[in-house]
Amino acid sequence: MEKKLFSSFAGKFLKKHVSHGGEAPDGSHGMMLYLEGINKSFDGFKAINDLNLYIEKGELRCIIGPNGAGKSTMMDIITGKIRPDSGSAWFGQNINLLDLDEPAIAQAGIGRKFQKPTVFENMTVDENLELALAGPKTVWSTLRGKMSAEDNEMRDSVLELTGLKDLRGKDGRLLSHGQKQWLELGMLLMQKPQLLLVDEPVTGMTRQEMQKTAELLLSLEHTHTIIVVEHDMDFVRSIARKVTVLHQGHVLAEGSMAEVQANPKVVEVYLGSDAS
Amino acid sequence: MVTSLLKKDRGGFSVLGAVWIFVLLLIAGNAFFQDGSAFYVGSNTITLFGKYLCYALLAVSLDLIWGYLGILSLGHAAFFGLGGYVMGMYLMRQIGARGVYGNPELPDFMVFLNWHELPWYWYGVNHFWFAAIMILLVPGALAFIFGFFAFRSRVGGVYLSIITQSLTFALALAFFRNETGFGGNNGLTDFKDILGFSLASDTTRDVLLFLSALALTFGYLLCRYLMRSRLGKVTIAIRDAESRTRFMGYRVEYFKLAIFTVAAMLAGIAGALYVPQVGIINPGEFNPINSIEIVIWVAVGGRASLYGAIVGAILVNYAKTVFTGIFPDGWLYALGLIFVLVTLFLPKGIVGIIGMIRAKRAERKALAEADAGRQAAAEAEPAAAAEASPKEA
Repeated sequence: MEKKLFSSFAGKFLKKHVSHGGEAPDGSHGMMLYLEGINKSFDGFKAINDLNLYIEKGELRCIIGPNGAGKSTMMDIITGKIRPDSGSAWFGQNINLLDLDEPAIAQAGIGRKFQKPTVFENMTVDENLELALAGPKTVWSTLRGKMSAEDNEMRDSVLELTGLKDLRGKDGRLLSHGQKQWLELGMLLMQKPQLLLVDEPVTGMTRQEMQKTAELLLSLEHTHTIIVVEHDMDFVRSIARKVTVLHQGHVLAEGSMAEVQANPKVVEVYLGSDAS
Repeated sequence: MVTSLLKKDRGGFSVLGAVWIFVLLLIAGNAFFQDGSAFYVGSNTITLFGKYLCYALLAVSLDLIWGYLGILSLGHAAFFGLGGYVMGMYLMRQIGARGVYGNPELPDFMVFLNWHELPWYWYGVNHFWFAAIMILLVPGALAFIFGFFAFRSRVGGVYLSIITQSLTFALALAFFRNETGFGGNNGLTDFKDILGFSLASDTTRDVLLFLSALALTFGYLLCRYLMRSRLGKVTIAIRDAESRTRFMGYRVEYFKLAIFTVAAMLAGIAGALYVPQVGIINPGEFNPINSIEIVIWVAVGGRASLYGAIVGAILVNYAKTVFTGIFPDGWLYALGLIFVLVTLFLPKGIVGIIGMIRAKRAERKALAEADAGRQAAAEAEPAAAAEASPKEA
């Protein structure tokens, strides 16, 4: 009994601290992310209220909702920053997200772009991408870490895709807001994630830049599973296949953009006042 | 490898070069000239400079965790003190029967306290090799255990600073007690010799100065090696955007732990070299003020450049030596004033001045170019101004 207790403790410890959650998500049944019955309150305020969300493999899902609808809290729960009070969260069918912390979840294949673009300001575009590179991320491996020819190829292709090739030697803080957004998307791609969580990717972008971002995200569809949280309705309209409307921490409606827009409940809480 | 590390490091090369020239001149002046000659260097100057170099190594190790990792440790002198105490214990055991009480086993203070046998934690330190290992292991272990709990529970910012301050204060209180077994208030002193060489002899002092310069060079190169690797980039990433780093899959707390432990070990080496040169170690070394002073050296020299820490430590301590000679009570006020002035006017410290001058010059050049052709200037100037902003001191 005692031995079993110890071994289970050791197993958990190793899983949490050493193994980085090395297994890959199993999406063979067509589902990449399951959130079921999730609840989370902060000081009595219910930020997430019985949230159920299922994302298919290769899907590009847009999530919209007014401020305070729980979009960011949901992202925090998926990426391990916040533990829900109840409910379950699975990545594929085999990875229980609630067992893992942020680095382990990132290693398992979930990449996150923050609402406010966060790139490393004192490092060049190249260095930013290098740090994001998928692979072992322990102290020892980074000390010995070198860019292989393959890594360089990967980085060049990401630079190409994000249009940052000419800026590769520039420090992060010298980039414009839109360029930072792209760099962060590029960093996300370097991580080779299965699931991308993209929080407000087009704030601070011009129409043209927005268009490019839409193209970028659409080009990733099918090979990656993508969740986009966005306020800009035109942008959502231009990329969305399926839209989920969150309201008060709960899924209010789900469907194509046209269906959602026609839904009287949605019109009442959100679209009616915001998207003209 | 050493040359490749220093190749693109003009600042570090210049500072270390200047230190070595100075050290060799001092040693030559002490060893080859007699008192009365214009070139003679007194042994006090030798130990004084040796002391500065130990402080410089200590400052470099703090720069690693403050400048690069962004953790403001206000207890870094604790690790310096522990390294110093281990060396002190070794030197105590070397005194042997030459102590006042003539006890071959027990140091004088233990005889005085009526102790009859050596406490277990004094075993082994009479062997130099054992002491040398402990000099690394004791500060390293404390840093590891402290860091493990602090970083795992994600304590950061000012709270961590306060905890580090309490750590060193707790050590001071413990070492003040006679019962702790490290000489209490008086600490460890009256050392006679190290590895059989008399500490009073000029040659030993010259060698210790030389070794201090060697340790400083080694510490600097090690830190530079670490910070230039991808590990160094992750360290800076943690400083600038910790949660971003975590979401990229880096286990931030382990990186902090590794850097913190390495810095503590370097501080331990500095302390161990310091003690035979100044001839005493007492609980005053754990005084919280000492740890704050290290922070000021680094701030004055310039954060996150490593060689700035060397410049800061040597200059501030030289100023201290001069100033306390003229006006002993005023030093802390002067130190505070230096800190305020540097923070206000030299945010990148003394070594940042070069970067500032270079940026000014580039800016002026850009302006001149802008005047030359207004048409081109409309596009060129923002780019030029961006280029000109100081990248790194």
